[in-house]
Amino acid sequence: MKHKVIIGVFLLIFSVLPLLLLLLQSIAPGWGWGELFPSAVSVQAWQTALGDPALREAVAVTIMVILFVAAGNVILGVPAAKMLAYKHFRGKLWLDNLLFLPILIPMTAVAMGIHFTFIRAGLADTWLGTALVLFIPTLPYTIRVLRAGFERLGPESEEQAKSLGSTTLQALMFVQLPQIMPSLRSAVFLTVVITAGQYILPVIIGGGTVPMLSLLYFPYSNSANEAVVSALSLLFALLPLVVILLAEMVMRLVFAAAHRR
Amino acid sequence: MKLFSRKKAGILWLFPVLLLLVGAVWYALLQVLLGSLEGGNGQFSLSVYETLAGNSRFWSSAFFSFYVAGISTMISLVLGIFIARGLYHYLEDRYSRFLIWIPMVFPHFVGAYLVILIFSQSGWLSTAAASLGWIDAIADFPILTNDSRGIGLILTYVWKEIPFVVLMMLPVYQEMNKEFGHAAAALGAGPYQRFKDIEWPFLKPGALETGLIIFCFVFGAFEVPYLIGASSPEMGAVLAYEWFYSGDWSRRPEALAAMTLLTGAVLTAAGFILWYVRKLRSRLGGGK
Repeated sequence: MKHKVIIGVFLLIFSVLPLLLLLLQSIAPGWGWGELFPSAVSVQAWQTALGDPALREAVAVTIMVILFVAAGNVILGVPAAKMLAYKHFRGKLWLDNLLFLPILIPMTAVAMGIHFTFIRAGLADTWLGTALVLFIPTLPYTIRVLRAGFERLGPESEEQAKSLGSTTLQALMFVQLPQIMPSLRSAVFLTVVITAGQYILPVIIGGGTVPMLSLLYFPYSNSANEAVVSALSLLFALLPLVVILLAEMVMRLVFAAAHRR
Repeated sequence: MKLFSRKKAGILWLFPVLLLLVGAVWYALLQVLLGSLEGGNGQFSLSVYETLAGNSRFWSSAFFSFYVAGISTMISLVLGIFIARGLYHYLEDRYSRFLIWIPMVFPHFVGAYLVILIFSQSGWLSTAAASLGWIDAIADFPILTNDSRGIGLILTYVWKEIPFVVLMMLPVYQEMNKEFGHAAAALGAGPYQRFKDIEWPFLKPGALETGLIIFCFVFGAFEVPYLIGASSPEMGAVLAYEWFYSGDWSRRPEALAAMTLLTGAVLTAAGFILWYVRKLRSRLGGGK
């Protein structure tokens, strides 16, 4: 009981209070030093933020890029994860490490190193180029999470499905993926959150012409209007939720359509 | 469609993955390295590194990055494991467990902004201190953000990385055999001893790997120090970025050399830890 209380209080201070603070700050434009709680509330900051055409465009572009990156992560990550989970081959250890290393390498170095090549290839300053580099900080996580899912599932269910006459793809779509849905959800969640939070890659590769939401955040956060910045901060938490709901719907539709065939 | 055997199709799928995660990344790092080695007239030279070695701003940046990354990693790991343990042992309720994920949906720079809202001199804690009568004016509150000791940075990273540690450690606890702990308790082991002798050996590989991820991420980070770091000392990546985009191109080789050294440090640390973790795992009998 004592432990439960300690953990509960910690979670409250650690997670709930910051969220409440952002919420309060976003609806209390005049709230400043000296007032423990805001004296007046208004939705003016939300109106300012949502009324900004630059921001609305950024939300649309960001959702598009995130959906592209998340879909690509699943499509590319599933076969790679399955292979790493079940197949044994020479050099697997090295491949494993090479696919993990991008998590550790500073993205500033990657962005600086690849910028010129992207300019020459016509990919710099385009949303496609920006989306492509965003696979680098996300795909290693997707592969890791999905691989753990496949490993827990074991190779037996695929063998069983195949012995009943299904193809590899059918076994994957009808038997394996539905069983590793929790891992699939975690992978999409991580991808969405990491993509939305990238700054240096879209700044350098997108060159400021691909208006990801994170690019708007920095000039906003230097403005004195804390209510608007707080509203924008909350938008960053809402965005993953919206995209995850969309992804969940898409995944269910795909499985349902596959079942009907 | 017998053109591709099943085996080849698998490798074909892997190709874009390799292109993005191995090809593009190592090509980029090679470009950074080559750019840093460019001498005056198209020849290779190490002169940039000599300049950099004598640059005290670079060294203080490098040490500052190391210090912030080290402290953030230690605190996140200790508290994260403690919370994962608590959630696993004492909090069965799925819905309250969700609370720990809240910081994860926010990007790092939003975390930095939250730290400013709460800990800055005109922040909420300062207001609270004033209403309690501890301080009289804004200036009386200690400087905890944009500070040269990196406290604001560390607070931000600890807030963001604790849930990440829990995310990585909770599955280990869930897969851990509870019987060992019960047996140890029956034989009279206290909670500390149970943790040290039963849980830690299972946690160690994952904890080291998680610590490596956090350390490298913070060590090479740009966003948060760009937003709430002090102007001196700067974190390494911020310094390199400023040199790289500082109007004229004269400092570009230095920026690339600095990024080469930072990345080299990260890869060296990764090499050691990954090798050691592999050894630990094979000793645990998993061999995966």
